[in-house]
Order: sequence, then structure tokens, then C-alpha cells
Amino acid sequence: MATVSLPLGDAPSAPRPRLRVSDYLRWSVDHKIIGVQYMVTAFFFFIVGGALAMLIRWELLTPTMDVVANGSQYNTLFSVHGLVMIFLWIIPMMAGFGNYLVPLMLGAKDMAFPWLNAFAFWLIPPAGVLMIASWLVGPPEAGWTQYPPLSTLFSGDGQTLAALSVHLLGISSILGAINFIVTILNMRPEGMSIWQIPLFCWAILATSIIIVMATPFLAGALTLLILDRIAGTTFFDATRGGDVLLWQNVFWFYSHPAVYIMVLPGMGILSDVLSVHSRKPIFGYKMIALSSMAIAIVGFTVWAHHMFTSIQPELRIPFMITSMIIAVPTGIKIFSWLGTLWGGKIRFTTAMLFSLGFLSMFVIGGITGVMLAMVPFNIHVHDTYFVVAHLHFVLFGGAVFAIYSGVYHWFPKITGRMLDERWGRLHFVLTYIGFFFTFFPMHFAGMLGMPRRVAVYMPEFQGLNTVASLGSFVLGISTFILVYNAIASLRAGKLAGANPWRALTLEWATSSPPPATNFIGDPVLFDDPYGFGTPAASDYLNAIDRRFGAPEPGAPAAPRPAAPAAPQPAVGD
Amino acid sequence: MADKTMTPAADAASEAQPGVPGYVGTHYPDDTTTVLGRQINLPVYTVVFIVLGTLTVLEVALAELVPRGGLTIPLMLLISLGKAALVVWFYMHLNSDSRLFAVTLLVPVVMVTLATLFLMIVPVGY
Amino acid sequence: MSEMSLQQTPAAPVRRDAHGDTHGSHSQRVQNLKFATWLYLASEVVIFSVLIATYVVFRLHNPEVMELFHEKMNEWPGIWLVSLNTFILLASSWAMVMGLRQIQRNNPQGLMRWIGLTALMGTVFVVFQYVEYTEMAHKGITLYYDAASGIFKDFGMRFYAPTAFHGAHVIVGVLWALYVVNNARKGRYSSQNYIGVEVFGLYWHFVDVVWIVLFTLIYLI
Repeated sequence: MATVSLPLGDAPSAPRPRLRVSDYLRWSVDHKIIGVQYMVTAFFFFIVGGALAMLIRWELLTPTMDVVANGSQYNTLFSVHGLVMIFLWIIPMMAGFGNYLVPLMLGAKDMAFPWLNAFAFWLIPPAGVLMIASWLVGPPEAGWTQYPPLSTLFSGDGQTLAALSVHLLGISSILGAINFIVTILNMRPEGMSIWQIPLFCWAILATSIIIVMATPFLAGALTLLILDRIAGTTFFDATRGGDVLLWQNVFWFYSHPAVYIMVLPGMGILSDVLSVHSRKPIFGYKMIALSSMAIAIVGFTVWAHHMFTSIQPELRIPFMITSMIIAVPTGIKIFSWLGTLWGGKIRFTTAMLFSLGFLSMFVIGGITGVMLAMVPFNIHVHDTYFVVAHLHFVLFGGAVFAIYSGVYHWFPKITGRMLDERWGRLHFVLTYIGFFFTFFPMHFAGMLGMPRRVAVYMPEFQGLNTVASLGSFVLGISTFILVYNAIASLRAGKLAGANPWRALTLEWATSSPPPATNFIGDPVLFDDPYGFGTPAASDYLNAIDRRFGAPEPGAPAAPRPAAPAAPQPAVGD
Repeated sequence: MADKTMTPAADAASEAQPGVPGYVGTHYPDDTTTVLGRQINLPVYTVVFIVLGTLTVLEVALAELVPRGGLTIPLMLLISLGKAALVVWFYMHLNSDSRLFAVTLLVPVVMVTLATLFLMIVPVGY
Repeated sequence: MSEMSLQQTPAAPVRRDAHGDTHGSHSQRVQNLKFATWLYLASEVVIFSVLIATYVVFRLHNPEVMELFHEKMNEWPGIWLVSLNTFILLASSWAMVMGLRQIQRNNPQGLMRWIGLTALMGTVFVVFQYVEYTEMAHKGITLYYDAASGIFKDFGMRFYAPTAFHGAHVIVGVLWALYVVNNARKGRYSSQNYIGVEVFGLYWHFVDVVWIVLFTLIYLI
């Protein structure tokens, strides 16, 4: 505490970076531009995938077929919806956060390999074009899991394009992950040990390790699938010497760890947001960091719980046990977050609200996950809407809520302006309610036996489905509130200053948006990234305000000491 | 772990050499190699190559001359593993480079071995 | 106390950005590149394992196909060509490290000769593999499922997928070797800066290691 260094000296002399829209449309090796490119591209695909979801829910308003003309069209809807949301929205969006934040949080000027970083991003637009083109040339109908023989014998040429698209996205995310691992392990400033990096960086590190180890499984399986589709091989054709289960095994070698690829960065976002907005040191830093690693490791041992109805029965129990074990590190995180909140000076900013939304919804998703790990229950609800409910609670209630939370938290850093909090709160309320009423009824529908991936269902499920559909329309509308809020705030939002939330991590110790080199001179790091509530932290934060500028008065930011040089130590900070 | 491994002592030492900014250190092997206490007038790379060639001949002879079955298959696997280890250890410089690189290689190797064994154990064909 | 010490803390404290300049000192760049290459090779291990596993599982459950395959391999050129090819690839790896040794001794001419030899042997490997594939195809082992091929009808794809994927890596490696030679010709390497050669070496040796494993698993066992 006594050795705290403060960022004093003259105000930064570099002019505020003026970035035009065109800067984001061309090749750039600046990680900040690449990060925004990732996020905007991913959000575009979120709208695309969301529109497909709206069509799905519209179709399911009534038990009969009314929006789509036949079952094949419905298959296309949910297949492309799943592929787009997973491979073109959540994973690239998390990579966007990582790109923008990791170098800043480490006090670095850029990623370890800026060119590779740009290359990894620019694989995404062609992959997106391939994915959308797949719809036009004869749509993929095999779901996002692309199980053969659905994907080999019963799908149009689009399935090949979709597989190629996922292949490209896999290469992109492997290259990105290599970059993250090298950056986090090798590019920390002197004096920042691995136990001082923000928990978001830990989460990205764990995610990247999973990506490097798991994504090639999918690449290998997709290579075989593409060969089956275009070269006349029969790797997955059981009638001609192939093995259908090979796909399921290898696919879930990748795709179960991929669940953690999608949610671990969100957990990293949560660790930062919860601590900052409740003005309390994070509870159990090491446990949260190590539980990310534990999830990464155990995540590789649970894949066959997706196959309880297809593997031989004696293997079910071992995978049931590992699947339950993986709830332990997740539980450690949840309780650490609750411990962080406990007794904190909680500020219900929109970022905080979405993080709390994550906590409540992800716990539901986690509990249904443990339920699904149990063999008898799993067999009962296998391939029903219960599974749909579970995965959306984990991926929407988990990953997307965390993304929203991160957007509200870091938007000021990225743009220099605050997002409007009133619109933000409306966005949160509509999202939360819409989300809950969309996906919670699906649990009941599933337990009553409604199968997933059907356009026509028994009339007795109509009540539940109508509630879900109406909820989903609210959810759809809520997304545009964020879009409006972002555009309006970009034009006329309150100026954010360098550190509106009074956070202690390094990305806030520079102007908003940061200059091209991220920091003018050397960044000054505070020993403990979550060491709120000490006089030293208070001094550090005041010094940042003095050097880089405080937020505009009236901006929805953390309250500051009345006078910048208040003599008494503001211990409450 | 990362702190120690990623700033190897060798690096720091060579960087400390005066007048050579960014000097990385060139630890190329000598012209002679000591094998089992005897000095051979060849660089270590050549010695390793000769060993690799010999092992390959041995392996092919084993496959072609000895009837397949019994111990031959594990023996051939062992030889091929030894050859791979020689290349990784001497040619890919794991003997002098950061331990982290060895971990980076070993983790996926162990993982895919287990995965392959799993696929070998479960029944196929349906 | 805090207010006073606040004013006196220097603006540039001891803690500083590890990479003071553009992208770090040379030694850090070297460490970053090597680490990234190893991570890339780690992902390659996994993707190769999927293709190899399809072969190994087939091998385990169809020993009679393998008996027949080994019989076919005993016909000229068969196993002898593949053994020669294995030897060539091992030699190319040796040439690779000898080239690295030359540039570590600040001898770009030696580097160009050795790496040129590596590229040449890589090319020979690919040509011999082409010859081998042609022989195979004549014996009825095809990539696609071919009911007319009798017992080899579903063997070909499991044979070609891993070996051809490896062959593609060799082709990429040959192109990379030529690029390294070209760089050496332009004087871009020295005993102070040979990371470009070293990274290529890691890739090339990895391709060699994969072949060592494939050769034993597919042709010998």
C-alpha cells in the first residue's frame, strides 16, 4: 500500500484519436480496431440469428404448420440459427472483448502478433458469407450438431458450405487463441505476476487453451464430413463400412469444451463487473482463476453425456460422475461472486444488473445441467425442449447476459461516451422478462414430452409455446433498444472520462478511447486489480481522474469524492 | 510457472553480453559429440540422424523378417516413439528450450492418446 | 501521509511495459514466436490424431484387411519405396538442422545449401508418394468407397486421409523452405537473427515426427 505508484505528470499531449467508420472497414493491425470489428460483425450475425429465432417462435405459436411450408424449411431455420449464434455470434463476440481488453489490461501496446490477429478476424466475413450462402444453394438441415446421416445423406449442398464455414471459423479462433495465450503469458509488464492479471485475462487464457486443444477435433471431423460429402468416402455411413458414432464422439470431444469456450469469457466479464460495481475486492481471486483452469481440464472428460442414448450403457455412469464434478468449479465461481457482492456498496448500473441477471439465470441453467447429467432423467428428457431450455439458459442467460454486461461496462472505454442508463435499464428489464418467459416454459414442455426440432406439435403444448413465443418477441424487441441506445449515445452520450466506474485494472488508466499506442508513456499499475476500499486505491483513482480527466458531470458513473483533493482518505471507495 | 519458464536464464545471460543489443544466444552444437563416454568427430545432429536411420532399418527388418504378432507390434511402436522423441528432443531443441514448450506438446499428445484409446475400446459399426 | 507521497511519486515508476518499443525486444519476439509455433503444432497434433484414429480403429477391427494390405505391400516397389521415402524425410530433417547450425555460425551460404537440400528432399518425398498412390490405385485401393474393390472397399479412405493430409503438409513445408532460402539469399538472416529459420525448422521436424508415427502405424504394424 505504501509503495503505490501514481500516474502523475502532465496531461496526455496526444490528441484524442479520431476514428472514422472507414477505419473499421479496412485491414488494420490495431487490436482496438480489430476488437470493435469482431464485436460489430458478431452483433450483425446476432441480429441474423435472432431473426431466424423469431421465425422459429412465430412458427411455434400454433401447433400446425403456418410460417414454413414443410418440415425441411423448419429444419433449415433451427440449423442456421444454431450455427450462426454459436460460431458467428458468441465465440467471435468473446474474441472481440478479448482483443480489445487483454492488451489494455496487461498494459501492452498490442497483442503479441498483430498481423495474425487481423488475419484471424478477416477469416470471419468470408465464413459468414459461406454460412448465409449455404442457405441459398440447398440448405443445411442437420442442426448445429450436424449428425450424420442427417448431414451426409439428407442435407442439401449447403451443408458442405456450412461445414467449410465452420472450418474457417475454427481456424480463425485457433489463431486468435494462440495469440491470446502468448500475449497473456509473455507480454505482461514487469512487476505484474500471473496472480495480478485481471480475472478476465484468466478466463481468456483458459478459453484459449480449450480452443487450441479442442477446436482441431472439430476441424478433423469436419474434414472427414466434407470428404464424405464431396469425395465419396464413407467415414460416417454405417451401411458402407462407416461409423456414425465416430462423428458424435469426435464432435463432442470439441463441442462440450466449446460450451466453456462460450461461457468462460463471460465468467471473466462477470468477475470484473461484479467487483467494480460493488466496490469490493473480489472474493477468492485465486479460486476463481484456478476454477477456470479446472473447468478447462474437466471439460474434456464429460463429452459422452450428450450421447447417453447412443453409447453403450456401462459407460453412462462414469460420464455422469464427471459431468457432476464439473459443477464444482462452477459452483466455486458462483459462491465467490456472491461473496464479492455480500456487504458491498452495490450500484445497480445496467452493467451490474446484467451481471446479476447472469447470476440468477446461469444458476438455473447450471442446475438443469446437473439434472441432465443424471442418466435416468437424461434419458427421459433426451431431445426434448428441456434440453433446449437448458442450453439457452446457459448460453443466453449465461454468455449473452455477460456480453451485455460487458458492453455496458466497457462501452465508455471503447467510445469515450457513456451508454444511457435509462434506456439501459429498460433494455435489461425487457431482456430479463422476455428471456425468462421465452425459455422457462420450455422446461415444462420438455418434461411433458415435447420433442425438439419439430414444426408441428401436440395441441396440448400450445399454451406453453404461446407464452414462449410472446416472450421471445419481447426479447427480440429488447435487442433494438440496445442498438438505439448505442447509436444515440455515440452521438450525444455523456463524456465518460478515463475511468467512469473507478476501476483499478489497467485498461482504465488511459484516456477513453485509448490512443493508438494504448498508453502515453509507461502505464502505472495498481498492485491489486481488485483492491478497492483502501486509501491507496482512492489516491490512485483520484490521480487517474486528475491526469486523464473525470467523467462529465451528470454521467451515470461512480460517485466521486466531492473535491478531487479531499484530505480525508475515502476508505469507502 | 510462466514467469520462470518464459524468461529463461540462458536468455537473460546472453542478453547481458555487452555491446550486443537483443543478442539471443547461439548455442549451436560443437563439431564433436560424446556418446557413452567416447568422442565422435561428428556434430550431434549427424549422430542423431545415424541413430534414426539405424532404427528405421531395424524397424523395417522387424516388420518384414519376423512374423507379425506377439511382441513385434509393441516393439515397433516403441521404436517409432523413440525416433519421434529423438527428433523432438534434439532437432526441435526441447533439450535446451523452455519447459513450457514441452508441456505444450505433451498435453495434447496425452489427450489424443486417451481419446484414441477410447475410440478403440468402444464398439463401432452402427 | 498519502497526500504528500502522492505528489512526490515520480511519473515514470520502475514498473514499465515489458516491451518498451514497438513489439518488444528481439529476445521476447523470439520467445513469442517459438511459443506460438509450439501452440500451433499442439493443435496440429489434435487434428492429425482424428485422421489417425479413424485408421487405427479400422486396423483394430479388420485384421484380415491388414494381412492382405501387407501382402500387397510386399510386391515391388511397395514397402521398399515407402521405406526409402521415410529415410529421405529423415534426411531432410537432418539437412534442416545442419542448415540452422550454419546460420548460427553466421554462414548464410551454408544455410541456403542445406535448406535447399531440405526442399529438394521434400519434393522427392512428394513425388515418391505420388508414385506410391498410383501403384495403390492400380491395386484397387481408392479414396472413395468402391464396392468393386472387394475387401479394400472401405480401406482406401482411411489410408489416404492421414497420409495425404501429411503430404499436403510436406508440400506447404517445401514452399516454406523455398521462402526461407529466398530470405537467406536477400541476407535477412544472421547469427543474431535466425528465428525465421528456427520456426520453419520446428514445423518441418513436426511433419517428420508425424511421418515417423504414420509409417509405423500404417505400413509396418
